Amino acid sequence: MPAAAVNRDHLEALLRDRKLDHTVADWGLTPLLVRGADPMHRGSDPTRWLVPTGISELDARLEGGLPRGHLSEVIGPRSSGRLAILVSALAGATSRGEAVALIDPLDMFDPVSASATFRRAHGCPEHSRETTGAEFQRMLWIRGESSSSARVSLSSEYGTLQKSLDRAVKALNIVLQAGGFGLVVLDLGEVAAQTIKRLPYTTWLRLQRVIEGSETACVLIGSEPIARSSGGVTVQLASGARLQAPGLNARVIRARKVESDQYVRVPLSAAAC
Amino acid sequence: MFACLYLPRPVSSLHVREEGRGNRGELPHAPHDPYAPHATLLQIARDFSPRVETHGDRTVTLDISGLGRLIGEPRSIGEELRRAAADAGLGVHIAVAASSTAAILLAHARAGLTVVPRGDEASALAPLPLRTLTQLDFGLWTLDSGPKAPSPKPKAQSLESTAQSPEQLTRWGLPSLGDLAALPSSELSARLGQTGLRWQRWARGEEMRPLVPAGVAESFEESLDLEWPIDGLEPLSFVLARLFEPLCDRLERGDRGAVVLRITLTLVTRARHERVVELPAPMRDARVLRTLALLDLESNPPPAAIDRVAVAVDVTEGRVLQFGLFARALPTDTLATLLARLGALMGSDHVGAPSLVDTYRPGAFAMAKFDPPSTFTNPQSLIPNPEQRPAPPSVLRRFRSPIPARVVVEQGRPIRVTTDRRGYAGGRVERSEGPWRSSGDWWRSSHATHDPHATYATSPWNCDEWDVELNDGTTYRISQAHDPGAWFVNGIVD
Repeated sequence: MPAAAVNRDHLEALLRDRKLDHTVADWGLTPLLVRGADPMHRGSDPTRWLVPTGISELDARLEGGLPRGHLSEVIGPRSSGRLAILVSALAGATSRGEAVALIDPLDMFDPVSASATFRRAHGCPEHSRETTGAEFQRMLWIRGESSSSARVSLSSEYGTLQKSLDRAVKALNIVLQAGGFGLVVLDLGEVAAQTIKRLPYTTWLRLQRVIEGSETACVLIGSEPIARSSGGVTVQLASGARLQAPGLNARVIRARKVESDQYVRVPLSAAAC
Repeated sequence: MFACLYLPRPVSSLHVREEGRGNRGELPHAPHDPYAPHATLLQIARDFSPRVETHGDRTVTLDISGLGRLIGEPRSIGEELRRAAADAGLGVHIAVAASSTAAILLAHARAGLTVVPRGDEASALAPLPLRTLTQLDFGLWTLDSGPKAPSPKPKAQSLESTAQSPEQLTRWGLPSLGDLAALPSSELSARLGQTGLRWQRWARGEEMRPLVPAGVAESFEESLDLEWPIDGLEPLSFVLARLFEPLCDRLERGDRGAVVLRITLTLVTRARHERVVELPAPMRDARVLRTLALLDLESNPPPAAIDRVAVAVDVTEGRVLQFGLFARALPTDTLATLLARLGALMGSDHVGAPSLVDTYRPGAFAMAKFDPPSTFTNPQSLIPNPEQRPAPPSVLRRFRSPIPARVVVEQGRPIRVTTDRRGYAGGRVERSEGPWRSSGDWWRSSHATHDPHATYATSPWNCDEWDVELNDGTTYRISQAHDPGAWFVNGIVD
């Protein structure tokens, strides 16, 4: 056996011992690790280590889906399709028998509009209003305090938002530490960027450490880049005319580099809600 | 060797009142408590032997083999039993014999203590009247629980049906058990079938089946009186750990799981702070139980320092779970702890699985308990194949309290949307879709009291909804209520 291969095997063994093998995905070793890894450890199917979004064009860009054991993010302006991507991924994971969790700090998730995606993933008629109860059975929804329209005091609003965000991050930490979830989503899409920036950056480092080596894919939704672990991905979305041509413009960013400057156009169905 | 304790019934209630408490035939318990005699009798027997079998509510048989080295001869054991019963205020009949059948029959027939040497069972039973077999009210008939004999011949069956009770044998000239025991078995079988043979074996004092020990109705409780009152949950966690560990060991030994957790804290104010935690599944992990108890007490802390801590659990049979090789399943213990932690952090009504409700009301939903099934998943379905799925539709972020908006309408369509809400300024409408008109619950009162815990209102609604795309690229879901004509921003399509 060549010396380089011996060294590589030794390196892979060391990384596996420390559960750091997947953190070197960007070094170009991933195919080798997947091919040569212990089947009980990683499996021969690399897609088992990914959570597909259920949108074929986007999954092709993501080389299969969102990576497990990493912190990823989906960012973009309002109405760019951030939530549609993640709801599709959540629905797909539940259809494969995985438990998923959505942490919703501002209590804005709408089960009625999301049910169409879930029904589609579970093979049910999309526009049927008959509830089988199975759509959301594997989805844990953690709701924060809903924002009140009667709120006028900015200082109290900031305080409430910060408190909601702190609680949401604590809830995310609890869910990740419990394990057993295939996909966990923290929806910060409507939380102001300056509120998120008040969180200590060690928050995200700690969360990365919690899910490292686990089979959970953790995804943050935001309007600006928040945090991403070394093996995670950033799906950046651009605003588009949603009503004229349902779809989204997405590009994938990995490891401090943009794979392509071009956004890929991903068609979406017309709003079914 | 076996001993049988039999507590004869009182002759009449009047007789009992005359004799008073503690006299023969009556128990030092409330007369309306039907389980008290049985419990006392059982406890006396358990004090002597772990192998105890009950027959009805007034007869207990116990295996006294091996007690000779501790107490002495069978007569000494019988004397000890009688002394223990007398101390408890019971006047019992006691019989000691090599077979439980002989002990039971002798205890029912003779008062006081009867001890039969090994091998003399038949001779000891011989003078007893044949009606002894019928006087037994505990169902000696069930003693023979062995495999059923082959179906008797039609002739024997017809004869067997003629003698339904041993008392009938008395009319045939068999006054005592000795007479029945002396009959030739083959002749008896020919005339009475298997029933007659069974009566004869009882009359000879033969063992019909091994003793079946009764299970111990164990109470799973632990308590601790504190030397110094404790204030706060952190020191309480150590106390709870000390209580739960032996409790869970006992649950493990008994193959039982806790389904309800009862915590009773006696406070320095002499008040009692009681909490009941219903567990989602039978569990016996001390750490999980302690965590759940602490999380519940965090949400409902005691108002004063704690003097005494007592924990008790309602138990059920242990559970057996079968997980699949491919499905990722959440262990129930972990799930219970997770939900308890999240409930303590976010509020229990803010954690669960979303569920739809049968209404067209915009934004209506309900919260269900999060309990993912641990079913086996076809491994083929783990291989993603998004090509087979069409693109998903857009999803709405909904404001639980809609934002009041000012909408300019031209030719029946909104052309500008503005709000006073910070961060949702609005703008010019580039495109719009709608209206979608919906109404419902018109039969309800519009002034109905709104439940603050309900996930959606139950008052009537009648509105038109629009999706409007603004010049900044945001797509709002807006609505106009018909009655007052006010506009609201209901959510953002994302």
